[in-house]
Amino acid sequence: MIKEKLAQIKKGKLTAVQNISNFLQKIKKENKKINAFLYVNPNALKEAKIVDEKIKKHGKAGKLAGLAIAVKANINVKDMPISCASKTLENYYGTYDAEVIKKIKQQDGIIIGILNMDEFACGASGETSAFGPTQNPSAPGLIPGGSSSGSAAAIAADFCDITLGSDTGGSIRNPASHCAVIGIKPSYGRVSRYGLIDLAMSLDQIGPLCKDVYGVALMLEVIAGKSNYDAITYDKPVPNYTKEIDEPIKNLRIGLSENFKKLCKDKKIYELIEKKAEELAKKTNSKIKNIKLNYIDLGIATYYPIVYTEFFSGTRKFDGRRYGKKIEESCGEEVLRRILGGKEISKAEYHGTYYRKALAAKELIKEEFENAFKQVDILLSPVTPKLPHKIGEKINVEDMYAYDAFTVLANLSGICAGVIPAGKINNAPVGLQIMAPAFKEELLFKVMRCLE
Amino acid sequence: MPNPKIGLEIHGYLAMPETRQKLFCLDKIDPNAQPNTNICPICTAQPGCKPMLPNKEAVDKIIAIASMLNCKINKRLLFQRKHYSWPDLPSGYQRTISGAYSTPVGENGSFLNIGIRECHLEEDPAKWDPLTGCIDYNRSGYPLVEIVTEPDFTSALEVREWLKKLMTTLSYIKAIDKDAGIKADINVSIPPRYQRVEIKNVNSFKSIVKAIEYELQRQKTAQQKKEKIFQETRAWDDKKGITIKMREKETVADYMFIPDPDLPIIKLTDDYIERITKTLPEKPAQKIKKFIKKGIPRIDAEILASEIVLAELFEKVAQEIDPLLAAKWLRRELMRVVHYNKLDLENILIDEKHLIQLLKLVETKKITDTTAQKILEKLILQPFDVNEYVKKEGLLKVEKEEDLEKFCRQAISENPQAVEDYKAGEEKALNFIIGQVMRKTKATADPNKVKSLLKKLIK
Repeated sequence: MIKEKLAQIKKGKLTAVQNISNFLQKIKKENKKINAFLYVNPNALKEAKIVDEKIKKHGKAGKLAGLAIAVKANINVKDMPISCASKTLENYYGTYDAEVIKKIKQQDGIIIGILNMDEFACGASGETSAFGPTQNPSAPGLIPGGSSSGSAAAIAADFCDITLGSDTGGSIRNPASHCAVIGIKPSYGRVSRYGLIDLAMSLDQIGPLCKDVYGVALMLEVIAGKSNYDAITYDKPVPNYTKEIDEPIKNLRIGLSENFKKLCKDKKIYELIEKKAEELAKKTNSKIKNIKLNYIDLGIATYYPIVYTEFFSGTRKFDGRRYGKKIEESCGEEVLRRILGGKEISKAEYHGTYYRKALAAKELIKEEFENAFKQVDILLSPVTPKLPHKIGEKINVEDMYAYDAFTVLANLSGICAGVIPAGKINNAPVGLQIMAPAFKEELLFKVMRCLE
Repeated sequence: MPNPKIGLEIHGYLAMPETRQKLFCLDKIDPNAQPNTNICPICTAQPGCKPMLPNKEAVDKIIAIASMLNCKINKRLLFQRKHYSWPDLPSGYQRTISGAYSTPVGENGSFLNIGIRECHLEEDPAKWDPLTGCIDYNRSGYPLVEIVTEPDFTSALEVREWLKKLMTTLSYIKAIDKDAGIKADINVSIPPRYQRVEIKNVNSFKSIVKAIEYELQRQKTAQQKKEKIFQETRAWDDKKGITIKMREKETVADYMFIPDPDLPIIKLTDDYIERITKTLPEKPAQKIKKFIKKGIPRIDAEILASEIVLAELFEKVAQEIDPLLAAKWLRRELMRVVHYNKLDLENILIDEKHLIQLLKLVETKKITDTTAQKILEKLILQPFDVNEYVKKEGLLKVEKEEDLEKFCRQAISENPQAVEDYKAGEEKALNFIIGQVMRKTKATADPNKVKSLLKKLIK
């Protein structure tokens, strides 16, 4: 557990070097099978040694002292290959540290390596990486989920302490659910996106994954906050999440929705969610309220035009003049689909045909959630409407996109949402999604802690 | 016969004296820097970079410009991405407050009877040399202003005169970097069908005039030959002095504008706008009107109003000194001395106090014009108390007849040869003797008086 490990490192009972070297050995032995890491930092041990010396000399170090942090391959780390798991950026090495990376380094976290993902974060299964699919350590043979496939698999396989993923429509929560780990998508504007390679700029957020709630809360505490380098971050104080998670919570208004039930194709999944809701209600002496959410079935239809359009815009810089290859000539099928689709939408956009309509629908969904949170404190839902498929199984685009039905809602409405393991169905891990109002991550953590 | 219609899209670099920083990052604006020295991940569009909030100085400047051009100022600033693929554009899109669905910073204005459709703010791309392929990202992200006029001009000369006045007006608020020059896209169309032809990237006043004249003639000739005039985009070839067809008309749709998701909409309050517009100076046209009312000839009034430093200096001096005399001295003598020393009006140290001292002495005829000119030459380099200086150096005009006569007699007795020559009918010799007297009086005597006195004495 992260809290205990940190205490041991600070006391010198476990050195940072030992911690990192344990993970390095495990990665060396098992990563070939899992394919979670695309790159391992050759300087990790050296950097750990510096942290140990710091602890010896000053008796203290940063909040992440000696922890092994692995990073999704779309977040810039200086001098590491930030390929977005694509042939397009195969030879691109980060030219600067993303703001989240700067903050992790300031708190003495060790960047142990770079993680596999769906190419350019375009995917929900972890299969579209140009460097091979990621395997699911918690359910061998099934997809690990995506797009932060490596970020979830690396945690599930015990390759490191905490990972960073990015979440545009569920890319942290979906693999967290399939790999049975904990992850959160912070509120839009909570964490600086400076250094995160674009999927859809108005939805993207960076967030942490870990085996325990404390680790996730700790990482968010480090990386959250207003930044001059991301103009859409909010100037709101960052609470002391790690302290707040242990405060007891009582008398919550827990929200479920018939509309969630309708949207959930696999009824067993929804039954499990209802069971979890009851468990939480019992533990916290809370009431469950079923509320109406009329517009949520618009989620997918709203989400994809926005993603296509913004992704097309964001990838214009990969024109072959810089960073190696022209994206249209070097990327995989799903990335190309989104670029070409985005181009058509953008052309038609002179008439306001799709993108602006999607933005208007986004506002509608946002309002709906704002109203919902007047009636309830949190909302519980499935993470995906169906169980993960087998790696390599052919499924059509619509079915692939359908995985996102529950997760895109938090991105479209700008709220925060976390995932915690809820159980297993047919040997497939199933997660519970907890949604809370924007900038109420501490509430999310407390609820997750109750269910941990 | 109806007139042709000419309209302009003028691009200029915003002057940014306070921050000297780019629009979306903190890099310096320095046109003289070594290539690629003022760059960062943001202005080179490294993967994953986001823009910072737009430079406040640039936003303030654009509001000031919109106000000087009598535009309606919009309170909701939305940056859009204008997509096109070109080597100078590292992100593949330009950030601009223009395009479909945008509201420009200022719109529906007018300046000297020409309608201003809109003025807005955008970022400059990098500098690309097509011959070497080299790209200099120093320029990437410089703030640009674009001013779009209605097609209200009817001739090239009208455009030139108007542009000059526009530049003067914008120089009043130090809004445009004059050294960086302007770029214009020009649209020209002739009756009766008014097919709009756009000429891209014309780089100087001179070229603007030439391009318009060429294009008007080209279209007229085509019409006479009964050829069709197409709505199209043409390039200006400065060397050959002709316009060349680039492409059929391009539509806004080709740029695939979308609102930039990385930037929030900036909402301006009435207070904020008022704080900027309140401090704006009077416009040159108003100043010229005021000067003419004081009796200054129009041509002098226009020169005095051509630079705000000169105009404001004149207004202060003319409160104490006869405006006509002040105008003559500022517009002619001061400008002569400034130009001679290769100085800039904005950098000279002289202020109204010293000028008033000096011109008082001229006005009351206590010193000669020559003396005043010489003092002025010194004053602009290093100001000093003019009254004390004149006393110390003995530069007050030689007033008394007997004093002047004394100097004249001396000169006559010291230069017998010249006196003989003059008596023999050589007029030039007298000028020599006058010169000697002037030297003795340190040029404080009136040369005309000296001349007549010498003539009297030599006879």
